[in-house]
Amino acid sequence: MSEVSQFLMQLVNGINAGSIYALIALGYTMVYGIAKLINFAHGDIIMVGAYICLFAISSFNLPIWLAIILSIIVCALLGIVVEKIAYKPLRSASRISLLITAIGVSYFLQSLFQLLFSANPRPFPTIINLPALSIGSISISAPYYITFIVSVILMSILHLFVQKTKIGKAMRAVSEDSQAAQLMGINIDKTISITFAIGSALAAVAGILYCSSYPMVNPYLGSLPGIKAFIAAVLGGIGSIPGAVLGGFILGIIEALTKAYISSQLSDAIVFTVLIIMLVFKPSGILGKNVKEKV
Amino acid sequence: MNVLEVKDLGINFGGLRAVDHFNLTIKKGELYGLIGPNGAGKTTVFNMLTGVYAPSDGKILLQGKNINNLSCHKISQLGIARTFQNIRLFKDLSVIDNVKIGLHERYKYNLVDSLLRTKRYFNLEQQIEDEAMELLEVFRLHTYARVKACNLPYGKQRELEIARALATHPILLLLDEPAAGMNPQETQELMEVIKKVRKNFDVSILLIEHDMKLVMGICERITVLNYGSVLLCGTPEEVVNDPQVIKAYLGD
Repeated sequence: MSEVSQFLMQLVNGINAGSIYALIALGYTMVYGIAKLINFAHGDIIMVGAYICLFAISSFNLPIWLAIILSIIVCALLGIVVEKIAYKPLRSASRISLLITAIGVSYFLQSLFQLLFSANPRPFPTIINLPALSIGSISISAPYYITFIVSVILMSILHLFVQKTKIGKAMRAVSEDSQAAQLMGINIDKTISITFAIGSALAAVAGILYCSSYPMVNPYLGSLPGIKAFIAAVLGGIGSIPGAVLGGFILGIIEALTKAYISSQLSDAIVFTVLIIMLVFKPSGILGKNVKEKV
Repeated sequence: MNVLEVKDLGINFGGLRAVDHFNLTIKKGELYGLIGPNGAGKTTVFNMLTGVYAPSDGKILLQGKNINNLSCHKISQLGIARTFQNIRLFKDLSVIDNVKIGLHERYKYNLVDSLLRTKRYFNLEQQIEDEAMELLEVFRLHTYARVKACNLPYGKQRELEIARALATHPILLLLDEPAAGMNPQETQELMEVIKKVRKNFDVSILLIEHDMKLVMGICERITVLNYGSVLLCGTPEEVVNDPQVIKAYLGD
């Protein structure tokens, strides 16, 4: 294989991982924008989504499309329930309490699934049965290009939703000034619930896509992609939707190129180093805004 | 009929009695002033009227309906809108989108309509757009419609905040120091705007203000608040000539 096609192949790997990170990062960034909360349990929603899809197909023999829809709906509801039970009572508490609660929810979900289904990994069924795509000298397998296409479609829909619809505008208003938004007649509880539902639904899709590329499901499956997506969200500028997408792709590509050309063992370390460098030099992220306080 | 009736309203912050036995009656179409020295509790009263704070005791009746302990968005839907002492626009949204946020609660279309872009959606969006534009024209803000709110000049931002509040179709509009930080000419313009708003929108107005020229110029009745209690309630002439009021503002 020539140098160029090797590089292109790595780029394809990076874009595949990047699409998944971007989808997850959207959930982080939207929830942060609205509730000013880093929802560390977000990564575990991916795991729940993957398990539900797995059981719907292998235990209940549901058709694939139905399994995917079921997984999306359950995760959206789970997102709403987690917010209502764990975060809503703490809305006026300090941010650190919320952060610790989010970590608690994350461990709760992991332990719950370990208790229910054991820690043993289970194989994930093949749900994308399409031929690989050959472009020039490289061939792209079906899960890879489907992941990319699905992510781009979902991100475009989300963009339209946030920019054009009434609920989307309400979401932007709440993220800028939740009190003023309430006083304009916006129901903030409803807006927060919708945000969690959308974020979790995207996480479910991300979980299914992730398991299509790496077909193994275990209760800790969500934590590493979750953390990486969080880094992506911070890299792009937390609170910014285009930032999350950009951060996701950049991170995926950096990771893939590191694995290929530097060291596969060091790739995670390098990804975290990117986060540290970013936080040192531009803490607000690539597309984030520097909030200056007037004195 | 009275638009707003406040009876014996009070609130405690820990051991501090911030507002005590506050009474207020606003008639339909009235332009009412609430004045008092700094820290007298004027904004606290506004916060109780709009549901930001829950009063410790007393009653707030909006058109005879008790609105104590309702959430902010419910009260907004029932017809109280407000502006803020320090401007709180949605800065990154365009001028017209700020107004549309206020309008949206009254136009119902569902998610399916908006994602599928049905005819119903386009009709309603057009209606919202038209109404928002009309509202901006009243404030001569229509030429700025697509500009980000944070890029407007200061005086225009204040007016946009009033426009945004009016978009919720209030029966009572609360203005918290609308002339704060304005120069005399801007204040003069603002007085005209407030008069026009009352005439065109059939709304009662309660305003907090330190600029005495503005208060005396447009308010029909005034309540003076000092240390959380009502000092006096009367017409502008009665208020300016009252020795108690002069004492509260200037000291002995």
